[in-house]
Amino acid sequence: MNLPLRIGPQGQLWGRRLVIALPYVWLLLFFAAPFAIVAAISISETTLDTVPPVTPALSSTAYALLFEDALYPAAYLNSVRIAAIATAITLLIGYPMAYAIARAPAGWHGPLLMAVILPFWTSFLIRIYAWIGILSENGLLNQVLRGTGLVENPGSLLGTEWAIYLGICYAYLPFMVLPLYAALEKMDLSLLEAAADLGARPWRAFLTITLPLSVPGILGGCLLVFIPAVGEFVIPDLLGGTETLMIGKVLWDEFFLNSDWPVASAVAMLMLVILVVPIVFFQRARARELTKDQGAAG
Amino acid sequence: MTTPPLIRIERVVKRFGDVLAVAGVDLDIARGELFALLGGSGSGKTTLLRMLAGFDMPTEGRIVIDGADMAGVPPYARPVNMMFQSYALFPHMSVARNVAYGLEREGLPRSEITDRVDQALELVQLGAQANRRPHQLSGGQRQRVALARAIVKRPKVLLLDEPLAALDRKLRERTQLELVELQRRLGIAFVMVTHDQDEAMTMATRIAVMDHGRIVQVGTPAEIYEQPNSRFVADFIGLANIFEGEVTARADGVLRIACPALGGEIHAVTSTSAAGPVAIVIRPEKFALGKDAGGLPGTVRNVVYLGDESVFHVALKTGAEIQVTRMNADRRDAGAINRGDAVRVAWSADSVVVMPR
Amino acid sequence: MTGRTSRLLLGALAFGYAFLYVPILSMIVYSFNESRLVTVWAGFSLKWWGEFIRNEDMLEAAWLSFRIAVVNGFVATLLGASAGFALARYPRFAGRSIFSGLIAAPLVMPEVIMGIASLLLFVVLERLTGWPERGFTTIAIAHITFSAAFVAVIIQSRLADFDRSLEEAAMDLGARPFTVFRTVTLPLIAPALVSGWLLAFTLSMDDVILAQFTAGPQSQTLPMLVYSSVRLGVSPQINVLATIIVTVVGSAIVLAGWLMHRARRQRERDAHAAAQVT
Repeated sequence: MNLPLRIGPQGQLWGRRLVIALPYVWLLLFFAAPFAIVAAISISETTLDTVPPVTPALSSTAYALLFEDALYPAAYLNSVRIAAIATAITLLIGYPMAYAIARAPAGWHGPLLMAVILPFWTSFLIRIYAWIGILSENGLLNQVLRGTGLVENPGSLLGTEWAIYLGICYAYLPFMVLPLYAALEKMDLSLLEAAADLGARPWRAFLTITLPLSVPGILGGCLLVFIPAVGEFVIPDLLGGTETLMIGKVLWDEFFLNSDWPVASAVAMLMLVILVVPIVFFQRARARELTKDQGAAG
Repeated sequence: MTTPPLIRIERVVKRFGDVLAVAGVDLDIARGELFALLGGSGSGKTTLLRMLAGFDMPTEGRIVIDGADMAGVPPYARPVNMMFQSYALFPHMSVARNVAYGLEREGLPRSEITDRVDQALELVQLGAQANRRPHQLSGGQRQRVALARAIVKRPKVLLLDEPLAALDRKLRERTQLELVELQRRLGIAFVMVTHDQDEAMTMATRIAVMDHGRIVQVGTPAEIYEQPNSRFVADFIGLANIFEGEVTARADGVLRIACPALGGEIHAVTSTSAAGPVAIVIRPEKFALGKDAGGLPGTVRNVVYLGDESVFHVALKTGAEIQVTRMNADRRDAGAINRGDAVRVAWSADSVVVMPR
Repeated sequence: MTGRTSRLLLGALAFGYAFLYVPILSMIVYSFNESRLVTVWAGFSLKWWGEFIRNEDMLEAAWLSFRIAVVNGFVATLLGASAGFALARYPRFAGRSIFSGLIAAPLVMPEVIMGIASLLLFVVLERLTGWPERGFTTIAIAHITFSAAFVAVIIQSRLADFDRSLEEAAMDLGARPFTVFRTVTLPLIAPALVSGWLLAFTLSMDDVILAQFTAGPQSQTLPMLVYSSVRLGVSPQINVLATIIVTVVGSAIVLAGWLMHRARRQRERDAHAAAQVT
């Protein structure tokens, strides 16, 4: 007794178009288009007497500067290096945590994960600020160190690269733990029993079974930390020293202090070029993960 | 009796918190046996198998395998291997690497590993699939990879946890016979867990029927079927007609039993020394069913046609309901018995099993 | 063997959580410090709390941030949910791979890049059309673009493990597509929508870089104010703010967790009771 669906398919089609078009147009306009403008400005000329301080041109001045002045290559390399080291430290802290949570009694997973994410919901800026108080000359860390009597006159970590590693690690730890947990949690534990049954000691079973199977989680977590860390500005600005060069800070200074829009844009474009490979990698991995989930569900 | 058993399980108890999973099991398993642990879910059969593998440790009692006490011996140091119900194939390794995994742990030379992996894959007819990943295989092929991986280490005992549960029926029946054949060729003991009585009957040389963490009966398939020692076993294995009666006399291996459901006094040829109130079991195929023959009168309430045989539900004049099976030997049965027919039911004193109530 | 492993894991957990929480706790403790020097304890005092409450700039900035975050929450949830729905449900449409790239990129894109890109767009737009004036609108647009991607991820993964047969059952019972969506799909993804909204709200309340780039000279959000004050050096008033944020967010999350836990327990009890009846 079904009535013929007259409006149905047509309405569905329009609904579908709307659902796709609304976010698509928004993202094209406010996310994709700006990059075209950044590209255009990066080849413009700087003119300090106009507002905005650029005149359209077809100039390679800004890019030439990036390669001539040793400051810029150094800043790029430094950013990649610092981000890589910080990512590695985050992995070393995050993996045992994720592993311990994934192997905890079932009822504990939720609260333990919540406790990892909870700091993320408080302010990022304020969490970085907390480290200033801890790492400064008379900060908590040095008070504790003096209290133990082991170190008489510890220097301040604030202003060193170590402070930046700590800051990145602290701010991004949840992004490392969550994908690792997801990979470790869905692992079939009978695989480990099978490995033990075939003669593998626990450590060997971890290396040959658990670790390889958690590689997607490791990759996902590392990319989620590494990519934003390369362009990080607040952490090196607040915790790092004046001599620590990171490219996010260089971009910021070019833009706000020197008002050199073309150079700032060129710095951004080159950073994008450096990050495009890891970003595409990240996006591929995510798409694969999701289609796999859907395949399993359907 | 002279050679010591391969596996000796002594007074083994396993508790998980308050739950008593295995409640005191004594069992010996000999070399070369294909032994089945049969029971429903929660009977403790899987826990017992896992204790043999070393994944769970007994709370009390001990397990001896080939003369060595297994207390405190971790799974990776035991001379047993297991085929998992889920197969537990490593998804990130090829078939060959899966099979090689256990040999690599022994630190064998590469060439020997390759040879033995090839042999094992040949044995399960998977030589051509050596480089595939587990997800590229069919269910039956995966089952055979799991088997190859478990036997390649030449364990003293192969443990099989519901080895065929994931296969469809046709494949399962074929694989049952293949497994038996393989077990004979290898000569190693198989201990398998199953909830499927047909599987246990088809494959096993001996069966232990388990219930609530205890072994209720151990015996060959024929013993378990023909001489069940309890109502539980009689009911669990195959169809059973169970009645209550009272032993009135005993002479020359024949019991006289008062059984109102079967129309008064009946005879049973049995060696049991049961006395007083007893349970009586008669398997449905042991009844002779006919329209004109002698026996207890009754009416056919229902006929279930199963192809090879039919099951008749007969209401006896005494008020009891029994099930009778009969082979459909002729395609056109002139004397076909249908629903509503008046029939007579007879049995021999040999086929009556008596057990204490 | 297992004992040593679990002790190691417990140690890893203890270290990790100490790492996460000691800085936050130290900040809270020092908000009650008498001394202006944040790092030296000079006795308990509510002095900085008093100063904080009288700080009009702070309140004004907080109010602006709050309004932006609320608007951002709704628009980003609408856009993000649409995008997540499109990605989860429409396996093929023109430009889908670009679309999914546009969703994934903001998740990891360094904020300085997004900041400068958004600002340059707004400058060009303003040149061409006279709109938008920099301030509330531009900050909100930048935040929406950024946080919609996060909402999309939440909705997409919720829909990925959604039981499609529920929708098929509704359709089979005579519901048209929109009715199916309204009566079945929407109620079932509602929790994901709520968490999406909350995440978008938080991201907006938290952002300093996008705001710094896109704000006009008149508007200052709370993180911008905090940032400029932190750059000048530590200030106990920031500790007070931190304490308030941590308390509000912490208790909200713990409360939400407790409510969810209770609801689940209730469902389990109901299911148990139902099983007893049959």
